Amino acid sequence: MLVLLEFLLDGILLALCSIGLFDRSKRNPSLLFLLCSALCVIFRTWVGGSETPLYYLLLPADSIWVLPFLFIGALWLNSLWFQASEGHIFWGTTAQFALYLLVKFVCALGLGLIGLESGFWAVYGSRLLAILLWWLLWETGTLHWLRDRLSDGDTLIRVIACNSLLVLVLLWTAYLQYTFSRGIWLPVAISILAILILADGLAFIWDQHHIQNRQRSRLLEQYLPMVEELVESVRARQHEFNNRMLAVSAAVDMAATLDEAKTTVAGLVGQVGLDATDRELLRCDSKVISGMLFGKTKQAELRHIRLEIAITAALLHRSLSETGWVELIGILVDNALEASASGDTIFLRAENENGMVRLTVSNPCSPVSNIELTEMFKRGWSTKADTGRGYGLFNACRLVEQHGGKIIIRNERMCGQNYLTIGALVP
Amino acid sequence: MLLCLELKKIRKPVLITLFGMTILACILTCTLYRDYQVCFVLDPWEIGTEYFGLLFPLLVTVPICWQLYYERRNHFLIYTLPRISKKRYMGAKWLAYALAAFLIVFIPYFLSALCSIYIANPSLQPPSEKYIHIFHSFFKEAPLVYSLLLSLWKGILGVLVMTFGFVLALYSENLFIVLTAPFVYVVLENFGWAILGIPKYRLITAFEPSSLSSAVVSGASFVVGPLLLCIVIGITVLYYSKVKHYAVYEM
Repeated sequence: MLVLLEFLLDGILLALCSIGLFDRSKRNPSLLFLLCSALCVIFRTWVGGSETPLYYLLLPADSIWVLPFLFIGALWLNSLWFQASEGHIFWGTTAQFALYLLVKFVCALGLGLIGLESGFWAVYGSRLLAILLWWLLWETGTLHWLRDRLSDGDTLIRVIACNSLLVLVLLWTAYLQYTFSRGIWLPVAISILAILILADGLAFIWDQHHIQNRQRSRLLEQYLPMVEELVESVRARQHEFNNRMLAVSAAVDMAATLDEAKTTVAGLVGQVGLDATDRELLRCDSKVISGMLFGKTKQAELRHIRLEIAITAALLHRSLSETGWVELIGILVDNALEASASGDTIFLRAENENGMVRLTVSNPCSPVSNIELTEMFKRGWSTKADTGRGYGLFNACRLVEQHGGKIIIRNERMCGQNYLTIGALVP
Repeated sequence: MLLCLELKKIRKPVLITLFGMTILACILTCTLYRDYQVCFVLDPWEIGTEYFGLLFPLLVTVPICWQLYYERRNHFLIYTLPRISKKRYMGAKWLAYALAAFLIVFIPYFLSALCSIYIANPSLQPPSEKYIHIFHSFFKEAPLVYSLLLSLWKGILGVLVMTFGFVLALYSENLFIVLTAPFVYVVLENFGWAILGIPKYRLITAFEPSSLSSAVVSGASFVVGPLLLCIVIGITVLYYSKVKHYAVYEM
């Protein structure tokens, strides 16, 4: 009779782990508890060879060869019970087993440490505590978070779930064999753990790389149309330039005297030539940054603000990635635009300084005290009363410092008025 | 042309499985026999490939049958209707899958047999007088032909098991059932015959006749297991098409 309680508790925990990691149920969830208990009965009484209850303390199986069948059984149940993608079902089942083993291990180990490694507490107490631990994880929202990540197809979470399961199975097998000290388990366990840690690290790096690639694709999608617009405007100028050259040639032929020719040519050539800003943007080595700045100049023009750009340094192949430059320049220019009034001129400069890039953005502003200058880079500092603001300069500062750069901030006298210059020195 | 197209669709997982299995089978054949007493040149082959007998249902369904399931699920099958008849398309698909399943089983088994004959080079012990092996003289005198024929037979059984997965992929809406049901069937069938006390009729016995004493293995051992699987496949088709009225081209 008491054995039935073991099956029931194991089945309940297995079903709870399943419910925690999958949300939309296709069938009655209460039946799942019964079926999971039945699965435990099958694997423990029909497939399992051992009679000792301690063998089944962690899993309803007594051999590693039985585990794949138990996994397939749970996989079938999950795929029949829950509405989820195949990837979510597979990795969710992996995470389900990892979670099941983890809570069981923690409880059994906890009881073992206080001397309750056998008897009622080890067999039933650890099972009840495992269900309690599951409830705690559920209440704290850990399981919801894990479920969302699995549902989103997060590679890192999948690899961690898979590796955790492998490590826990390894520990479970070692527990069953009691041979850590005398068999080949120690070298095998160390090798497997090393491989799993390496796999986790590789997955993490791959994930970061994937995120960076996605960010770059997003930036390209956002700013490349602006580069095309810039190229179109240059082409239009080129066309106008050709017409003017023809007119100059005709004016020289038609002029009776040299002075007349000089006057006519000067009048014709006056407005020809590329806009200084466009020329600077074409000179920039990053087309994404050019596109973004072109967009910002148009944005400034709409507000009757002039944005003067001078780029003499190469921005690419620095410690800051292209995405980082876009983020930094975007924050600084947006801040300058917000602080400027109609008719103002903003200066953006990127120049070389001892092998580093000095990027500065200056906007007209009344003089700012040194205390205020240092306060500006604190989280939440803003000139506006709205909440949820004041993160731009804080993020810019963090970004620059993370890449070994320095923040520049000072009051400057330019064009007969005070300017606030904010920028960065990037290696 | 159609056959080539179908083979192209599954070539990556099939080649990975084929390559992995071949390497593993050859390595195990050349290493595992060292802890055993070896009497014949093919003994390392039988020792090294022992575990594949249980796993082969997974190896012939997982890398292959997923493709048909996804073609049904994303309604690709419906788009083939104006271009080609159902029977011809499914026929070509089965033929491509059958060829892939056959190669997944045949190549690792035959190449590992070649490793056993020409590379492993075990020191042979004289067998005891009581020692008997199925097709003993053939096994002893012509190991190459024996291994070739047995590998061919295993390849055919691989095709049969894959056909079960293929039928499930035609009707089932659950990918995990499609991919693992043949494996579960083989395990349960093995369990069932063992409980009934007549393990000679297991599909595993037909696949690996040396898994039982040759005294109990008979001609029927090679027929009953595959025949039962054919019946199960037939019942599955009838159940889905006549009882449940499921259509292949709808999901």
